[in-house]
Amino acid sequence: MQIGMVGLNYKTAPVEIREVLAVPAAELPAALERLNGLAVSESVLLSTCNRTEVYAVGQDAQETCAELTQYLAELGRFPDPEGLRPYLYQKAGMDAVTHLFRVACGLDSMVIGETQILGQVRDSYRDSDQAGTVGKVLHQLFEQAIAVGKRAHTETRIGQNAVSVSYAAVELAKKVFRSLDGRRCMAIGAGETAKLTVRHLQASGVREIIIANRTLERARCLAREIDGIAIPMSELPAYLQQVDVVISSTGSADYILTLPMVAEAVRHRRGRPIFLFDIAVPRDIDPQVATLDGVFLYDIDDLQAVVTANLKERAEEAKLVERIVAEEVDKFRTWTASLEVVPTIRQLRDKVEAIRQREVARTFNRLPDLTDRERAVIEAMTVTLVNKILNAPTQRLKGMADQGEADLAIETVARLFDLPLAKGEPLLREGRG
Amino acid sequence: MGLLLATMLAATAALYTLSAVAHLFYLFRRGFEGVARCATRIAWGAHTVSLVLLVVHTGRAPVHTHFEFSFLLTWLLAAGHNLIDLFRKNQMAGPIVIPLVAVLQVVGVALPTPGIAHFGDMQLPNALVGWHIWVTMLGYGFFVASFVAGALYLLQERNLRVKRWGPLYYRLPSLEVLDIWGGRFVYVGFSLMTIGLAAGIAFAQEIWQHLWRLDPKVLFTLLVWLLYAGYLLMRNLWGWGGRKAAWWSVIGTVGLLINYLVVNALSSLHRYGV
Repeated sequence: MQIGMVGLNYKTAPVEIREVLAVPAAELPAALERLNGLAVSESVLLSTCNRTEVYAVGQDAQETCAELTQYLAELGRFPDPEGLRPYLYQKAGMDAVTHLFRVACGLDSMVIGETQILGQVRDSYRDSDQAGTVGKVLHQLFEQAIAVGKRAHTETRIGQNAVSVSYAAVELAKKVFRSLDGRRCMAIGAGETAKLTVRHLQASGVREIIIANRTLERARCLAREIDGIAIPMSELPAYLQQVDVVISSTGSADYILTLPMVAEAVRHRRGRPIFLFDIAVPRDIDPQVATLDGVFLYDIDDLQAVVTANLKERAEEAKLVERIVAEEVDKFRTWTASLEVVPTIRQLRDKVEAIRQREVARTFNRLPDLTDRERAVIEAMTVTLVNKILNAPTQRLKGMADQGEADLAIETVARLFDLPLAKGEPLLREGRG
Repeated sequence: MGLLLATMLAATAALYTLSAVAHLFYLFRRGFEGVARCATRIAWGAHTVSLVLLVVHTGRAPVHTHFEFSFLLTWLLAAGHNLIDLFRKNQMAGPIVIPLVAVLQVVGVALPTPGIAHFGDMQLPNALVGWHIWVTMLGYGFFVASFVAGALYLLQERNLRVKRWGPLYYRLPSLEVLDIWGGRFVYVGFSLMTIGLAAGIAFAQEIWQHLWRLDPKVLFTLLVWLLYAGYLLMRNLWGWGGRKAAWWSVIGTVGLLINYLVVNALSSLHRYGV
């Protein structure tokens, strides 16, 4: 038995290929139906806009992967699987396990550390499970993959720090204000990035949004859309002193916010800081404004620089996540190794338990005068005895299996205890495929 | 025992120095968090053992010499830092606290022990002396905490202004939070200092029959007390805070340290061992 996977992602396949293989929700049942018909014992289909991957457990890694390639070709209605092959990657054994764990953590994503993929892994596992294609091995594998993804996000900061300009602005504001609850914000101009930033600010608790625009009608229109207040440009200086965050994105060639204007507003704010985001090119805010006390001014390049720094920070955290992935792959390896000796352990326990019950019954027959309490004590003693004796061999069996000596362990135990030779599925014995 | 104690004291100071260097590196680039954290914990462990040895060796509370006082004060500071690191997973106070601890330790070990404060011999109300010393020490601890908050505020504010996104930028809470905590620490520190001073004055009244003697330490302390009183007044009455408050608390603590390290030596009353 081997785990195998075949798939493609944004790194290996252009969008024309990816979109053909991305399974829309409506076609998912049919795709899973077909998955159920494959000559493999278990399978899961993971399909997002950036990747389509199939995981399966089969007798032989090579055959399993060929089967999966065929499946993907049919999924994309490719007449010849060879046409798809250049875009595919395939992995077997522990490589496939490592790959899935890395995917779940967002290490393989376009934006490193994004969390959406974890939900997609969870959903595809659930869907395949409902379609009845998931068995013992993939059940364990995907449950663990989801746990690894969660662990990566709680134990490291891989998913933290904004990776978009609009969100970077919100994050910067949060580095100054304890919370954005109830803060006021002003948008000058009504560009797309400004709108996005305002939405992020609203999601972070900003309640009052003031929109200033050259044409009041457009300001009113946007104000209705995002539940704000529209003002004409002429009233801008009066409102400036009331707001904590300003996002400017007009197409004006001159400065909209000049040094005296901001200086006046700052004087009225009595030291309370004000955030100015100038995402317009050419710029809307006089750069001299940044010299004022209590003013934090960022232009589009600054925000880009934050995003770049954040991505670097995430890449640093990714090193920690790789360590977590390696740990978890080890755990999975141990689990699969223990599968081999599970039947032997069960036989051993059954045999000893049978002896115990027989001997206890015989003893009680010989001692009919025992009270119920005395019987219970003797019974408990034999249970403890058996458990204590079997504890070490059980641990050793698992330990030896973990070290690749399952055959030797099974044979030894079978001979010593006169058990029939019973071996579990040698799942993923060799890590590479 | 004496040799063991001396070795432990030197080891503690050395470990804190190592930890301080690691923390200062951490200020600028990643990769030193682990070393800094480990060194601090080991140093604090050695510190705790040394403190116990010191008390056993001398058989008295460790506040009788300038060195003992420093040793206990730095132990409290490092404990505070370790607790924040343990519970909030944030060691950003380290680059400010640990170098300070290291300096106080090295100064303490390097300088010859001047001697023992003679208040132990006085048969007079020891409870008041106790209050004077212990409460003032706690107050010092809180003032240093406000210093840390203020210094971090200034560093973070600078990061945001010059647009430098180092480890500090990522790990620090918002400026507002630093400002609020700085204010709270001064509030507690000031209250404790006031109680400590009141105890000192009451004690002076009992033995010398007048409120205080004209002593450099007394005068300088009064100055520091007024400085912090001004801080709280401005903060509460004028809603004052931010950068100015951060500078003020940094200056206040620098004054406190001058008072502690320099003025003590000039004082006839507060000098340890004559």
